[in-house]
Amino acid sequence: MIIFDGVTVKFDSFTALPAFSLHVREGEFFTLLGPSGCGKSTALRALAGFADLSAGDIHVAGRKITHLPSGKREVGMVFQNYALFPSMNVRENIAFGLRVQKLSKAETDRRVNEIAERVDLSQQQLDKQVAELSGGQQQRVAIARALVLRPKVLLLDEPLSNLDAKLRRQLRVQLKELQGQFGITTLYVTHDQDEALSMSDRIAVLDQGRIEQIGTPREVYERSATEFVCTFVGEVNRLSPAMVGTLAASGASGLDVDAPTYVRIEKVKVARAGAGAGAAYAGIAVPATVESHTYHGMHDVCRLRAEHGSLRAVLTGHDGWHPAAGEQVDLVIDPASLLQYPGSTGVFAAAGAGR
Amino acid sequence: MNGSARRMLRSPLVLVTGAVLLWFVFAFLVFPNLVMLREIFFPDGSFSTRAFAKLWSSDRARASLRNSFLLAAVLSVTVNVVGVFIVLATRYFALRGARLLWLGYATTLVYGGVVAVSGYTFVYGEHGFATRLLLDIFPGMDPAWFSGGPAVAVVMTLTGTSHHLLFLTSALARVDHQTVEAAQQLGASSWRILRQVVLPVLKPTLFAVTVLTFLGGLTAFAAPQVLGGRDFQTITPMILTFAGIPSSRDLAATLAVVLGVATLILLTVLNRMQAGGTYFSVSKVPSALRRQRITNPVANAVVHVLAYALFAVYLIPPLLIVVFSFTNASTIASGRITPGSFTLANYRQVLTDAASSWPFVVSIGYAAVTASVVIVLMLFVARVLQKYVNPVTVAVEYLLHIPWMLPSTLTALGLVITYSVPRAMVGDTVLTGTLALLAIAYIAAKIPITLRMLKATYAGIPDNLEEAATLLGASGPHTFRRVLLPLVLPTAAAVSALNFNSLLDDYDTSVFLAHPLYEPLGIAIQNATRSEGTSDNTALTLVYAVLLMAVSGLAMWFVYGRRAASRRTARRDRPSTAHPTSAADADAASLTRPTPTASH
Amino acid sequence: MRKTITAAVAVLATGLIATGCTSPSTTATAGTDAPETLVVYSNSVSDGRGDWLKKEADIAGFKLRLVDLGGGDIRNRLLAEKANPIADVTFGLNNVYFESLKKAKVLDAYTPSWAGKVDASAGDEAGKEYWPIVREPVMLVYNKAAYTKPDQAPSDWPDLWTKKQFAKRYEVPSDLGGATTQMVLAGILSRYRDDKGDLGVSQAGWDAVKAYFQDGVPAVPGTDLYAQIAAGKVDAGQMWLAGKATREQQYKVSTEAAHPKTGVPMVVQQVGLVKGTKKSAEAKKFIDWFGSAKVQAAWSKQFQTVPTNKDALAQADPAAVSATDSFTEQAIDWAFVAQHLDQWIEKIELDYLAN
Repeated sequence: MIIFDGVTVKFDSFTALPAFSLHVREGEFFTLLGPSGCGKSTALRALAGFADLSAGDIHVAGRKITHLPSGKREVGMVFQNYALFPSMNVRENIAFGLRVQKLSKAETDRRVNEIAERVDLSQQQLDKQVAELSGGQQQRVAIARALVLRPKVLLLDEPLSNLDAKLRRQLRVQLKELQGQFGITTLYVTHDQDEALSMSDRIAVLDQGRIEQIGTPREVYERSATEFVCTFVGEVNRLSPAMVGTLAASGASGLDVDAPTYVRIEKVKVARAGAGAGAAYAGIAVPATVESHTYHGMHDVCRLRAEHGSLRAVLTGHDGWHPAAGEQVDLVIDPASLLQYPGSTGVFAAAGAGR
Repeated sequence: MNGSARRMLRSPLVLVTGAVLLWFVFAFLVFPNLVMLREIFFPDGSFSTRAFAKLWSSDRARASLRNSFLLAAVLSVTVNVVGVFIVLATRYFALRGARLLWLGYATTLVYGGVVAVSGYTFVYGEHGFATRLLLDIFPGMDPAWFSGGPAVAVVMTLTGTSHHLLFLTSALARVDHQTVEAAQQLGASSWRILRQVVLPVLKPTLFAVTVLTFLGGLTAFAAPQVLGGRDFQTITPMILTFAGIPSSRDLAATLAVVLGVATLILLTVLNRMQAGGTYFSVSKVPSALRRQRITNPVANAVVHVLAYALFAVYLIPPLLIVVFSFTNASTIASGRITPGSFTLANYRQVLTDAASSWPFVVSIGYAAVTASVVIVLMLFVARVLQKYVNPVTVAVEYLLHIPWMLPSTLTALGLVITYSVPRAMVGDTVLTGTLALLAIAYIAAKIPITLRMLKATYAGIPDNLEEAATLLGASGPHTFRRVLLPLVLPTAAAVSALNFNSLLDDYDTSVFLAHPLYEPLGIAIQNATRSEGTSDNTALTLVYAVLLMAVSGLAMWFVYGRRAASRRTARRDRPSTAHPTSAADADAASLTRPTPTASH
Repeated sequence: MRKTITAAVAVLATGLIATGCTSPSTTATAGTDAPETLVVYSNSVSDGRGDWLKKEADIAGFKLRLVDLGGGDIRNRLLAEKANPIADVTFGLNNVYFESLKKAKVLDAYTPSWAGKVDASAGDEAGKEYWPIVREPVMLVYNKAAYTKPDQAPSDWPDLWTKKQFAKRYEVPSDLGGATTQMVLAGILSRYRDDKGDLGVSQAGWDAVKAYFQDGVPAVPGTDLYAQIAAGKVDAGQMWLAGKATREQQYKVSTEAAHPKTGVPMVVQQVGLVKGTKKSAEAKKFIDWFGSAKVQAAWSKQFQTVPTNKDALAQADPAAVSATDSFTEQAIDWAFVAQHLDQWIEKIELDYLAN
């Protein structure tokens, strides 16, 4: 449905997007995930027609749109701050694109009312000024304004980043529901891994303009293709080479002791000291001391010190056991859950393991 | 850079306007000044230092220059003190009758220059009300106490706060109330909150109005001339005198260049200082500022007394102008009102005699037409300059600021000298003696402030509004008209009102450029005060002043009053979107160069 | 928002409607002047003189547009408009101004029909470019009430700065642009002519000017001398003949003019034809009419002037004539004054002005 083919975007001497290629399928909720400056917004803006391509082509629904002006690309977009026109009321905002197309008044009204109903905006809300709406309502207006033109694809540029946590979670659901309801191919840009994992059909993780991995949320999370993806998505512990050596000596096979090695914090299990491997969890047990302990409601997070370094672990505490700071415990690691990146530079170690 | 230039050249509308603009800039801003400076400083092809030598050896010229700079420096402090106080009193603290207070302080928006000075003379002059009151208490005091440098500083301080009222007020409105509450929570006193939380946020705006104040002091005209007396004369009257004598114009130009250089240095220094950073709300959800109650009862009483005292000081002079405009000449001269003093003759003369009302009509016409042309032109130019940043646009923007660097007298002189012969640049016609020349000068004079305010407003509009419109299929012009224009229109209206008001009583440009059969009000007022006539025309001047105040007041009300009224009825709980909606919101950019006679 | 726009439009519209108003000229609108409408620049048409002149001219078949400006402004305008003259005729300026206009080649030679009735030497005898119409003494006036005996009053200008009792009791100009002021200064400086001195004036002359300004009270712009006298702030100052009578009446003070033995500067107002006028024939007819004995006599009766036209003198206002004739005319070399006046003004402005 959307094809980026070797798209290159330069700003003066800086190349924001080097030969970017991507294929988004019809009806898919596709997310570009990455830290700020990774090129995800540039890709989106190139698709919308706001960035000049120095090489490559973009196709939407089988049509090459590389050189089409923005307004002719049949692309709808919801901006980070929604970009609602403050000088117009809600109805005028939604009708803006229809008026540009010089639709009759009756047809315009009909389509505005139709879309308003579908995004759940009442008639009273349609006659309000945009500043009078709540954040969630503003988002629905922005979506309605984009979708009323029946675009082939919908672009969402970090539409949740300016909102508070609770509203963000609510709107995440609202967005996903609306997308499903309209069945429109959606390209979503975010730096928030939770959003990406929970909403997307597929994710592309970007770093410095390059795609590190494309896959379903589960693939990206559990089988992170690169060290960058592994450390950027989710929370991991980096194991010291000595620790990896200990695990290898304890019977874990196929480990490359010299490769950067990570384990996600929820894969590190904690058992009562001496309970031994295999009793509570499958894996290799390593003696450790509880350094600190934080309560998160649904779970606890412990910091544990073992002989060859400290690790964080998630405790679900379903058996009512909450080890106190200073208590001796066993930490249990299943070698199958280790993520190893042989030949990787390990530059992400600090960023990943520190979190 | 190249990308910007290339994109810019793609739009035919931009190309055509660009060509017209370049022509205007060169023909009316650059070329006349070059012609004049050449004729003045290179009279025989070689550089002449006569003017420098003459001025340097003149005690009076040196003293006047010193006084101008001294006045500018003093005003930079005093106007800020009073200006900040009146803004805080009306918009920050919860004072009783704040709206009434504001109206009193706002009188400076509708009158200024020589009119304002005469108003203060009615109160503090030798026959003024206040003076007579003081004489009753201290019989031995000098009735001419209100003169010299201090008197000039006082009058110019009180009449110089209009920029604070406009620009600082709206900057204050953008202070995030949560920061105030946070400071209260941390146990800070009202005074500490004001000093360490609120005022720092206002700093960029204070910088900007300080520039305006400094320039106003530097080019002071009416107040020093009338009140300065023997010991406190300034440079602008001297420039005007020398500009009027053909053989002495090099002196006028040299003095003007000194002022221009000072202006340039000041702007550069302040731009440097300002580059430090912005202090505006960093919060994602700013909350609207609420007025602060002053909890300390003594402080509260003191502030109330001060505010109302200032209110009286502001209100009485214009009030007396209105009252005296209904009295005869001898009453005006003596300042003693008796029941027999009142007459409608002054108004009858102005309103029924076509020759007396004609200048008023001419001025309103000129001001309205040129203010409209400037705003239409700059709405477009500001957008282009803001959108496309490349060497050409940057250079053009600098050139558009020329009217700020040179006193208007000199610019006018340059136009007269240059276009009194046929020039190819304007189709081989002679512009001197046409209606167009004054309009051109008015337009040029109002370009810098209009450009800066509009550009800042455009800059405050998020880019993605335009992108959103483009994506929805709107063409460039359509986006401009439907999306951008409504957002800058409030600013445009406000700037236009300011421009309109300040052009109404212009004198020093008009005296050189006006078509003799279409003489604006500024000249009529000067002619009336000129002592060459057979009778005294002070009464006429006062009538003109009252009518001016009425028209200016009307213009301001249309722009500000109506908006305030509609805001009051439509006040919402949620803070509105952060787009700048008034001229005043264009903070640091809001620089204006007051002309010597007309300073609104 | 819309209200604001409406308001702005309303304000502008008011202005435009106002501009559309007809100009005070009832017979012709400027810019599209009917060929017979003459434009006349003058510094002597204020205070009803212009209205009277227009009315009389109308009866005589002339249509006039009068432009009321100060002497210096008229000169600057005529110089600037040399290539595109607007004025057809100018009158009222004194011979010094007219001399500089002649030098700048702004005037055309024309011999009016009444040339034989005036003393041509009071005008441009050689070039015939300007002709005298009215003469008027520039006087030192003092408040009669201020001096118990007439001999205590100042009898000539130098008294003011040489006798201590007058110090700070007389007004000096604060603006040197006025024609009367310049005549007073020319009268003082002419007494000290010294071709070896600075600008043709001896040091004693400059000292005198310095003392004159030092001991005087600077005029307050916008406040008349007679208002100052009435207020008791000063006792003496400069005044021209016609101004004395009207001001005495207006401010209810009684003043007397000093009659110096050296005489007083006798200002002779001139009339001239502007070079390049497209209405030359009509303009010449107007000059013939305006300088004629009948018009000048009527003008004199109306405004207490003393005509130079010998035939008019007989029917002129007797009081004005006798008052004028009571003064000796100071011997002033006008060519010398015309040559130096601008430089004098510059020097005084720079070095001697009291404020």
